[in-house]
Amino acid sequence: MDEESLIHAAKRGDLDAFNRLVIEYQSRAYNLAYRFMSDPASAADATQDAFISAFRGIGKFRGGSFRSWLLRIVVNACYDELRRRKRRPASSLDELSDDGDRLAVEIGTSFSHESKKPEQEIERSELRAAIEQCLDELPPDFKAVAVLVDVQGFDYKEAARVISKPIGTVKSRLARARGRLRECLNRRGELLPSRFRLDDETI
Amino acid sequence: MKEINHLPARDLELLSAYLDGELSARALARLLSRLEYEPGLKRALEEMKAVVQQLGSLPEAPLPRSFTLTPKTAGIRSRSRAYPVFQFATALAAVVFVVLVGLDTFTGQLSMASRAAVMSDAAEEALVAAPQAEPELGVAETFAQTDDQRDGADVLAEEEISGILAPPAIGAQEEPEEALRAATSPSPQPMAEKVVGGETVAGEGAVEQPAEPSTDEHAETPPTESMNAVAETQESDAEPPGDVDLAYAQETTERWSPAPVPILRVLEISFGALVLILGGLTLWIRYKRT
Repeated sequence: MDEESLIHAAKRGDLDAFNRLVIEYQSRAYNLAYRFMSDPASAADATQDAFISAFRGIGKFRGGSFRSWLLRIVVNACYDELRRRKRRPASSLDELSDDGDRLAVEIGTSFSHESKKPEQEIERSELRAAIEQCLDELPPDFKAVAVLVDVQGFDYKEAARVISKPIGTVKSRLARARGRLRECLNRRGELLPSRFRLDDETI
Repeated sequence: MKEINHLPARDLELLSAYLDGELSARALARLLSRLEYEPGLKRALEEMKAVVQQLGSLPEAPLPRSFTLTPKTAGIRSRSRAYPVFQFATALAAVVFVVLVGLDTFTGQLSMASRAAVMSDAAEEALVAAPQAEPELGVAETFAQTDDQRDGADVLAEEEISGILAPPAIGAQEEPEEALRAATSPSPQPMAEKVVGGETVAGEGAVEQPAEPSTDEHAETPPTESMNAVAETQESDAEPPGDVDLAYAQETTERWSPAPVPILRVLEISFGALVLILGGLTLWIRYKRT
């Protein structure tokens, strides 16, 4: 059964057909939410809410790219989740523990690669953590575009469909997001690998 | 450092578009010539390129769980076929019940109005007839006076009943009272049972028996007093104290005789109970399916 048939079946209320679409897109949807929210639990909530909203609103899908339509719902769910978090800003100990665990897992995973030296892997893990933190500091509008284009690999056109903005807006936001990320990483210059550090002599 | 970090927005967009291959040929040529003699811009380009590479190399987060939907999470309720049937039946029964109540109320108001009209007419008639039969019609006079004073059909009815039940106060009113009692009784039983010579004889037959020849001992030698009593009874039956009064009394009796339970009321109660039962069942089915 191809995607179009599944969409038609889901429009008729076939939950099994819709769940096959969920299986197809859940990883991409969750990763978008995860990079957007920087928190696994919130990302999972946003993803689940997005799929529920998608099932209830699939009758409004008028064709085109189902992926763009679905990820737009995910982005909107993330915005909703962010608004909820703003109303309840206190972060729990679980979240802090999750961050620590995540870093430990990443470092542990990196050590498991025998081909890389431990120092290099630690450096990469620290760099990744720095990038994630800098990404988290971005305003949501910039973050959405940076995640869609640079993390998920969307082109400008599809990113514009997902955030429901013109391509010019995508270009502008992406450039500013990259500029801010560069500034943020430069502030943490010691975390950058030597090849990314500013070296006035080389320029 | 500050100059590099704070690139103009236009240069940022140029570098960003260059990294994504979105520049036109003319814009690309201009940027490449600038990069040759602007080391800060070149360094910014390298840094931005590194950032994009790092973002692209972020690992994919593993799924914490499956996001497939269950009927519960999707908000799908299991559909019971009985629910719409019961829902419709409840609605239908409720509509019929409302119609019946409305009909009952309407007809009740109509009968009340007509009864009140009849009562007031009768009261007026009694009032008019009262002076003509004044010497004999004590009860009619009482009714007329009562009507005149109180002016109400219900009050009149109460007065009638009290007049019937009240013991005769004046000896002159005995005959009309008797006639009234005979007329107001729903069955002819009290009138039919007459005490003749110390024995109870079947009503009308007992009245008619003395006129026919009989071989009965009582009939052959009736006591004079008993015969007189029968004769008096016959006289009182044959000649009522007043035509208007008797007719009025009969009419009143018919009007106030206990009416049978109307079928409309029975239907009303039945459908009310049906609505309650069906409504309860419908709610129960609805509760069970959620």
